[in-house]
Parts: sequence; C-alpha cells; structure tokens
Amino acid sequence: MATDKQSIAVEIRNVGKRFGDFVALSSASLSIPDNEFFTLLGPSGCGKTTLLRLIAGFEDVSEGQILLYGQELEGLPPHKRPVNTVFQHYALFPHMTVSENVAFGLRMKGFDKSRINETVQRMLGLVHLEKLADRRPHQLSGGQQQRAALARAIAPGPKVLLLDEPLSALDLKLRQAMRLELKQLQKDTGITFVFVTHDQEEALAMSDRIAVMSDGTIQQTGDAREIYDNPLNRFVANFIGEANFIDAELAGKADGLCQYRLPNGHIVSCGGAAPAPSGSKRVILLRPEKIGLIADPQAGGLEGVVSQAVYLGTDTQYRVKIDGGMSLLVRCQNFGSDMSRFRTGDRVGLRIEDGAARVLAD
Amino acid sequence: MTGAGNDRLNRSGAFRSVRTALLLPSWLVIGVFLLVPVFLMLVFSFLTKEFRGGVIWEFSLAAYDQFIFDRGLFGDEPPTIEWTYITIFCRSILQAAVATVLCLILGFPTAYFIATRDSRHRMVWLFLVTVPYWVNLLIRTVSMKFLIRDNGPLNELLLALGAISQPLTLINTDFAVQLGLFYSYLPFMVLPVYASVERYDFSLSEAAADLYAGRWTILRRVVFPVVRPGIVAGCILVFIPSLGAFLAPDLLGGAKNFMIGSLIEEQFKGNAGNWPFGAAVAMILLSMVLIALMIHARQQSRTEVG
Ligand SMILES: Nc1ncnc2c1ncn2[C@@H]1O[C@H](COP(=O)(O)OP(=O)(O)O)[C@@H](O)[C@H]1O
Ligand SMILES: [Mg+2]
Repeated sequence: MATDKQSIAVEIRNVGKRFGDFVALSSASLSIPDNEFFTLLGPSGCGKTTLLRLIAGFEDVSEGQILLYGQELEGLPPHKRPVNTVFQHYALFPHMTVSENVAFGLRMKGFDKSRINETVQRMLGLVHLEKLADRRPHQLSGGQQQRAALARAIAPGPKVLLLDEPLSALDLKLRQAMRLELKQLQKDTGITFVFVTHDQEEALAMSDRIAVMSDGTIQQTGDAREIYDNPLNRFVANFIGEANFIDAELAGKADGLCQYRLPNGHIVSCGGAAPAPSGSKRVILLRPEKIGLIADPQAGGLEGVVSQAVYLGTDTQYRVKIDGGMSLLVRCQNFGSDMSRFRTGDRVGLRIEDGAARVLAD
Repeated sequence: MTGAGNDRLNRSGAFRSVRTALLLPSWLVIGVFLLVPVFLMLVFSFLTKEFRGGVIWEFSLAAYDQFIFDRGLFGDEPPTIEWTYITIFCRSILQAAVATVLCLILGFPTAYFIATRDSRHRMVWLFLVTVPYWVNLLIRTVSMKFLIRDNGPLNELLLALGAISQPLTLINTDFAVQLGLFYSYLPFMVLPVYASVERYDFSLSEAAADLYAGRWTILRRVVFPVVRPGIVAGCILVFIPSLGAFLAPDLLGGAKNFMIGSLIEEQFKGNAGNWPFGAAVAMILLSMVLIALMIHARQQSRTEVG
C-alpha cells in the first residue's frame, strides 16, 4: 500500500454529518490510495450512502474535511468535482437513448463531437452494450441498465468512481457475474473505486480493502483477510462470516499466545491478544470452520453432543452442546466418505488449533 | 403494473358486461351533455338565420360564406376575402398564446416550488394557489379591471414608489387582456405541472450534476424534457379556454380587442344575433383545436416509439 501523499485518491478526515439532531456519520477517517478497489460495508442505514454523497458533493459535511488528491473539496459543487457516481437505482435519463446517456457527461465537459462519439463507442464496447445503443432505458433489463449507468459514469474519465450498491437490484447469478466484471473493469481502467454494499460476500470477493461501518462509525479498515481473521470487535466479527463468541478470562501466556480460560474451565490459546493483566475478562472469537470435530474424544479435550446438524451441500453445519453449558457453531467440509459425518445426539470431541481463536479488543 | 391481471379479467365475458353497465351512466352524461350540443351547433351552422335570433330550418352555407367572403352590403358584389373575422382569429390565437406563456413563466416555478416542499406542506400550498379560484370568474375579472385602471391601486402604488411619473394606461390594451387571461387560467397550468414535477425523480438531477451539468443545464436538459407531458397538458388547458374566452377581452380589452369568444357571444345575445354564423364560428374554432390536438397526439406517439 502506497503512503505517499500524491497517491492518496480520497482522504477523509474526521468527517461528521448530522441531519437535524440525527447523527448519520461521526468522525469518520479513511485514506483511500489511488487505483484501489475500496469497499464500504455495513448494514442498511449505517451511513454508507451518506458518506458517498458527501464525497460526491450532494451533501455538505457537518465537520471534518474531504480531500481529493490532496485538494480540499469543501464548497465545491457536485458538477465541479472530478468524481462520478453509479446510483443505486441507476438514475438513467429516461428521455435519452443509451448512447445519449453515456455522452451526457462528455458533452457537459465540452469535448468535440468526434471525441464524444469515439469515447461513447469505446464505453459501450467496454460494457457490451454496442447493440443496444439506441434503446431507451425502459427498454433495457436490470443488468443492462446497470451497465449503461456504469458506462455513463466512467465515460468522462473520473479520477474516482463512487458506486452505491450497484448490484443490489440484480438477481444472484447476474450479481456474481457482474462482481468479476466490475473488478476487471477497475483493473483495466485504473480508476479508484469506492464501492458501497451491505453484502459481505460481495465485499470479500471484490475489494482490495474494506471499511466496515455500523451506526455512522467506521469500525475497522483493512483487507479481506485482516477483517475476517482479525476483527477488532464483536460487530465486525459477526457481520462478516459466522462467529462463536465466548466470554473468557486471561489465564497466562505461552509461546507468544495468550491462554484464556473458558467458562467450563477449558484453556485455549488465542492469537491477536492485546496486553492485559492476568484474570481480566475478554470476549474471544472462534470461527465455526476453525473447529474440528472428532469421533473419539481425547482425554482433557473439549467434548460435547451434537444438537443440530444442517447439511449445506459443500459443508455441514453443526450446533454442538459443550459439557458445562455453552453451545458452539461448527462448520465442517463434506469429504467423499460418510465417515466424517455426525448425527444429532452423537458424542463428539472438538479440536481447536493453537491460535485459531482470537481475542477481541473490546 | 397489473396488466396481466387486467387482461385475464377483460377476457371473461361476465366482467365485460358488468363493466359496460358501470360505464353506462358516464357515457350517457357525456353523450347528452357534450356530444348533443356540439352536434346541434354543427346543424345550426348549416341553417338559415332568422332575423330576431333563432334559425329557419333551411340548408344554407351562408354562415361559412360570411366568415370568409365579403360580398358587399347587399351581397351582390364580386366576393373578396373578408379579413375582419380572420383578424379576430389571429388576434385571439396570439392573445391566448401570450397568456399561456405568462402562465408557464409563473406557473412552472410555482409548481416546482410546491413539489419540492416537504410532503406535509404541499397540500397547504396547493390549497393556497386554488383559493382565489373559488370566486366567480366575472368578479375576479372585474376586480382586475379595478386594480389596473388609470387611477387604480396598481398605478397609485407605482406612482407612490416613484417608479413612474404618469399613470400607466393598462386598461383596454392587449396587455390587459393577456393579464386577465393569465390570471383566469393560472391554476390550469400549475396543477398538471405540479403533478408531473411531483413524480419527477430528483436523483436524475443529481446524476446530471454528477456529470458536470450546472443548474440551468439540468433544468433545460433533464427536468424540462422529463416533465414535458405535464407542461404540455398545462399549456393545452390554458390555451384552449383562453382562445374562446370572452369575459377578459370584453371587460379588460375594450371594443378594439375583440376575440373569438366575444364574437360568438354576440351572435347569440339579444335580438341582433346571427345563430348560424355564431355556430359556424364555434365549429371553425373547434375544428382548429381538434386538428392541433391531433397533430400533437401524433407527434407524441412518434417520440414515444422513436
Ligand atoms: N436527508 C436525510 N435527512 C434525514 N436523515 C437522513 C437523510 N439521509 C439519510 N438519513 C439517515 O441517515 C442514516 C444513514 O442513511 P444512509 O447513508 O442512506 O444509510 P445506508 O446507505 O448505509 O443504508 C439513515 O438512518 C437515514 O435515515
Ligand atoms: Mg444506501
């Protein structure tokens, strides 16, 4: 990741936004390098669209600063900002054809006719809409409208492209295909993408880096692996993937890992530990797929009874009632043989590798 | 939206007869009160005039002939084109057009303003716009006459402000008629334009701004074209009644600003009238309006397809 000032495309410094008394965004800070596919991920209503609208200039910040390649954007109206937006519901101009829609931004920039025509053709080729150039938006399918909106937004050659849940209106198969296409498009054009979604799978599949948001605050920023393997808090861990949360107490240290005591007295070695005094209480995270199930429990290991088994095709998801109270979610891949499968009521042992569990910071 | 459902319902015979029964009263009302009078006018326009008003049931083209040709006082001279009525028609079209433009200039921003208010306040604003129209048109036109006469409140205000040194002569001018028509039909512009601006998706304006369009460009290139149906409807609703209006031209325009409406009115008033001629003028006006509407409808359907 580049840290050089020049190569930071979007910098957001302590930005806050209030609507009346309602705080939609509070002291958000982000630094998005040039040429990155950056994703804002969070549940509906957490302020993702608000942050995007602040960058585009449709709303004014209540506090803080937004910089584009080092230039302060405050006071600059939307039509003077070198960013373009793909709107959630596309907002294609209904009275114009697809090519007129794509040409709109180029016309506004005052390019000459031949350059406009050439660029429109190139953009339509990029999104595979050459044959539909003369259609009106209402004569297009959802996926085609989405491509038209994309072509319209990248045609003027923005430095930064803002995308507000562009795939959410599409059906699953199309959505999955478009993920790859969008990612490829970002690589080919070299435009910095700021992509908004509430779909964690989408975020993991496409992004160079992700910022997880909730309730108007940015919870954590990092690449997919960091966010998944090393979530800072319970919200992030829960929002991305599945999670078991266990209240535990610091018992000691060994081999650079912290030893935490579970409520039933069992000790697990956890990674990602923050320094803490012995005996302090923490929440530890155990991902369901990081737990192994074994048929014949070993002495001193964790043991339990399968209380639920759900077959999911590639995986089976188990709920295991551990001796001593708690209940854990476990996810095992289905191998060829039937040997590795368990039924409700089976007694199983649980294997947790050292460092598979993570301590949450708060 | 419910297209599939409707089709299925349409195909069932029982539904169709129920629908016919339910629509029958509307068809009767339209037939009796709209088509019959128009048909009567059409018939009258081809009859012979009775000198004390009324008609003689005898076929004649005299009414249409009188509109187009001048055959001298006794009708025995070689025909030349009669310019009087054609001039009245042209003046009426011009006056109605100016009134329509005035309505659009004031009505569009008004409608836009109301449609962009908080949804709770829109009804209040609409109500305020329509309040003056609860008063009878005659009374409103007379008060307009009072307002703009030589020593009326408007002139006194302008004099007091020092904007003018002589009272403006407004009454009995073309402008007075245009003002009267504009004031008579303004809500017919505001309401349809409001209805289409209210449905306008403002994210289109944001998209245009995002694509480097300034405020006026957005209005011209995006807002106007998208709300065009509402603007066209408003223009039709103002233009057509303005064309046939007689109160404003009579009261505000004086004798030299005669319009079609007054011409028709004259023919049916008192004993001096000429019913077939009045009916013929009305039919000519009606045909012109219908032809204009048909041309518009055809263009509309062409742009929809194209
Ligand atoms: N113009 C506005 N006025 C008042 N509240 C708003 C406005 N825009 C957004 N909000 C509120 O701010 C919060 C965040 O909205 P938004 O950014 O659209 O969320 P997201 O895109 O993450 O779903 C929501 O609770 C929403 O109701
Ligand atoms: Mg949103």
